[in-house]
Amino acid sequence: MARRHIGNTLVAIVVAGIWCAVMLVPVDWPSTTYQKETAVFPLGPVSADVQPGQVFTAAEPFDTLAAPVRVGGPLDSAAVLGTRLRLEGPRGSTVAESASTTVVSTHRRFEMVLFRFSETLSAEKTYFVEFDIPRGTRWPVFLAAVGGDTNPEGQLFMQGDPAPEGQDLVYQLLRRQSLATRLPAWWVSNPGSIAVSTGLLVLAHLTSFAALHTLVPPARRGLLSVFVLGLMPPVLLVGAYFVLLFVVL
Amino acid sequence: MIAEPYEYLSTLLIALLPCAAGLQIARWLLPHERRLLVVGGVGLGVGIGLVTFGIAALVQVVPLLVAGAAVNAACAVLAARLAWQWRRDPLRVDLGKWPWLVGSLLLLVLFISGVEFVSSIWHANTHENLLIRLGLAAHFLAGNWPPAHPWEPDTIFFYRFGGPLWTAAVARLGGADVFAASLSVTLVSVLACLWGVAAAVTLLTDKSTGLLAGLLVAVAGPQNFLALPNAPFGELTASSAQKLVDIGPARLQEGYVLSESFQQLIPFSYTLVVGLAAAAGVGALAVAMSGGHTRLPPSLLVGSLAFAGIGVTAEHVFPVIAVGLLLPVPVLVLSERRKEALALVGLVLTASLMALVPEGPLAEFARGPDRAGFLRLDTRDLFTVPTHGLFPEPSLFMSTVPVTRAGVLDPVTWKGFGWSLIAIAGSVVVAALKRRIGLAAPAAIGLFALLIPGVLNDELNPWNTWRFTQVGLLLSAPALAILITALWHWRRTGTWLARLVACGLVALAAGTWLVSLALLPGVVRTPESPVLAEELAAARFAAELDYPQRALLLPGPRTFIELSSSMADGMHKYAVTFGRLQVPMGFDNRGSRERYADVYARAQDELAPEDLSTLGIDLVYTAQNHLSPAQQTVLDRAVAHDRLAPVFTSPGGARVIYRVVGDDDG
Repeated sequence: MARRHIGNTLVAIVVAGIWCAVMLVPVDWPSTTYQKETAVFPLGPVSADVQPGQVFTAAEPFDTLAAPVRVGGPLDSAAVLGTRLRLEGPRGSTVAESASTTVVSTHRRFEMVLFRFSETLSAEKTYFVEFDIPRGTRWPVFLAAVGGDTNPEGQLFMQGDPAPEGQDLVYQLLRRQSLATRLPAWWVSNPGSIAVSTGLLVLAHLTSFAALHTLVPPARRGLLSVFVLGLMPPVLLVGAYFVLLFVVL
Repeated sequence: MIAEPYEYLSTLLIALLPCAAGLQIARWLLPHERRLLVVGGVGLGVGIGLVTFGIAALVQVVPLLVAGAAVNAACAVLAARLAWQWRRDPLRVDLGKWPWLVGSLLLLVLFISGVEFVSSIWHANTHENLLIRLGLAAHFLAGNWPPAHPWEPDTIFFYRFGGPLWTAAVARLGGADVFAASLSVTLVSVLACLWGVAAAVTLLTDKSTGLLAGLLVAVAGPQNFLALPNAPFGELTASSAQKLVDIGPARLQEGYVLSESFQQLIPFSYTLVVGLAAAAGVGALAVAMSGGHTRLPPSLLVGSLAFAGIGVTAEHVFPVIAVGLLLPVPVLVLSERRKEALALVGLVLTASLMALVPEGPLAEFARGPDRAGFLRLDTRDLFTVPTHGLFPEPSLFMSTVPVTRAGVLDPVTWKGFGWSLIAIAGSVVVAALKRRIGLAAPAAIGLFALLIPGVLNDELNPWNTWRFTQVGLLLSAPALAILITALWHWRRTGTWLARLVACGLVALAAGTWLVSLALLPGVVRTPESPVLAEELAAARFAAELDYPQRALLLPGPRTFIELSSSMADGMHKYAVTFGRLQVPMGFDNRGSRERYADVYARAQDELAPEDLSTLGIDLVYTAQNHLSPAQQTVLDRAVAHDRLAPVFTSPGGARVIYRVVGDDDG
């Protein structure tokens, strides 16, 4: 009897711990959508002389910009890239610079590269991001761009001049936040999805513990079996939880 | 969403009345049965079958309100009797160690069913529920009997109207909107269906197998999750999960991920679930009858009436169940149980006769076989199944090339539904090894349903016979439960291997359901109409006009493909369902398209008085935010010439309704 109580308590502690981590650990949350592969074309080679950039308006504060990059050398060839943010356009004042990031050539068409800024950039402003490709970079570098004006407020620039209308760089804005700070905004924009997520998770927990209670006979509810069986459903659920939270984007 | 909270409660209580009545009837029919699992499973489904038959039969001679009130009054008396009798002689719950797990799983399944249904109405998770099923219910509520087709108002809608008719009765008696009523009807039907399956299999085998069968019917689906590694994860997004859930719900809404599964039926056409609930109840009653556990004459009468109800809710289930009931007859005759054999034959014959009473598809077919001239029997496609929605183009969750038909034993079928084929074969082997022929019943009926599309050809919609495939796959879930239980209790060599295979089969059957759980919130992410409040305001205005009103929608669909779409924010669906409008455009190629299509298209283009008059148009219902410049010009000209007069403008101006000004008005 006592062992069972200890086991149940342990399960409760583990589950509570996992949920605390889920709520408090900061994660990169995308705040913009992404482009479908079909409309994408490789832009480049870009270089210090053929410098690409993009005007965009941030709907939410962000601290990271992600962009697909292809290094055009043999597998494992590397290039170091950075980004610079200006206000308004190519000739605006610089407001932030990302840390440099090394990109490596792989079998994939593009590698998604995160350019992190040291501060959180505010929303409702128009920015211009330009990509820094150091002079002397050995391998050709390509970015991803898209036609069809999928980003009506944005504009692709090459060498400081706007590209023909309707073309944009492929990029995503992200913000590193804990779920606890992110949830209120989602509740306002997508109460239905959040309500369904919550209902689903509560019922999934209930079902997991009912399964545990039913399938493990009291005589065999040793500490280890209870711990392992109790740990598995929440771990699976947390995986599912992270997946479903992206639904509200 | 648009209903008041009390409407959900009142409609739920009224939808539960036939179930309570059925439970009381089942108590009487099964005098020696004390298990709630069995009596409830028989009773709920039979109750639903009886109420759909009763209302459909009575409404031909009395108004819907009277028909609904009479049937529900009878149900209320039986429900009161049940409550009174329960205090003296309660049924045994007797779920052993399973009640918590059964309860929580049932809650989970009902929750998912509710979300799926809601998303089919407000979030375009398939279109059929809002487009036609709920539309019919709303028109019934307005007094549409005999049922004029909302999209072909000069013709009678004669098939699959049982669910909407019951919904309309529930809405009328519950003082509620059809949305709340249909949600209640759906949830009660899901409960009754799963319970009925559990009862039938419990009677065939044991409690654990029965409960597992009910669960598997709810969660079994195609093995699409096996194709997940092929998904194009995250090349152009910082988040693989984002990509997954962006594609996932879309595929879920298109019906591809969970195609042919029970869960997919709910957003597709909830009346089929009503029919399946009745079928499960009748099936369980038939198992009890063949086992000699019932009062035979009343069981024959009640069962045949409930069975006949299926004819107006899910007509394709009718022949499958009929054959399923006749299959054990030779066995019963050989084992000298002629009374039971005769009862089963009588059940099928009486139900077939009773099914002619409501103006359903079977009555229509009996009176005019030429109406079914598009159906052809031949063996060119023997042992194949149509693949509509089953094996679509390669994508996330899918990795097969599209084919229109696949052999029952083709690799592509194994890839999609391998567990089902193993279940059918395996449960027959189990039945042979245990020398219990009844254990092969679900497999035999399932196989029969799977083979129907190989000999029955629908020349208008070749893929339409996939509905039989769906029934066959649903029936293979109980067969799987029988096989899994046998493997789990395997006592010869290789016990652990047998259990491993059992777990693997469960994983194959339920894997896609489990994976897609995480995608569920996505199906309620974006409402179909960005101007829903205005949409509903316009619909409310139209619904308050005298019934019926014929409308021309501008812009609006002209083809069946456009009907099943979110064209112009899905305005056509809201106008016909919540506005109770008739739109004479022609529905599909099974109906009277040729009668309407050309003149309706011309009327949309020109708004000419003679075309509007030919179609009997009363209103022109417009989505101002979607009008093309040409349409706007035609509309402005008609208004300027006093041929149209605006009678309603929604608060934001997105919807404007015009009254057609005829010569008399002028």
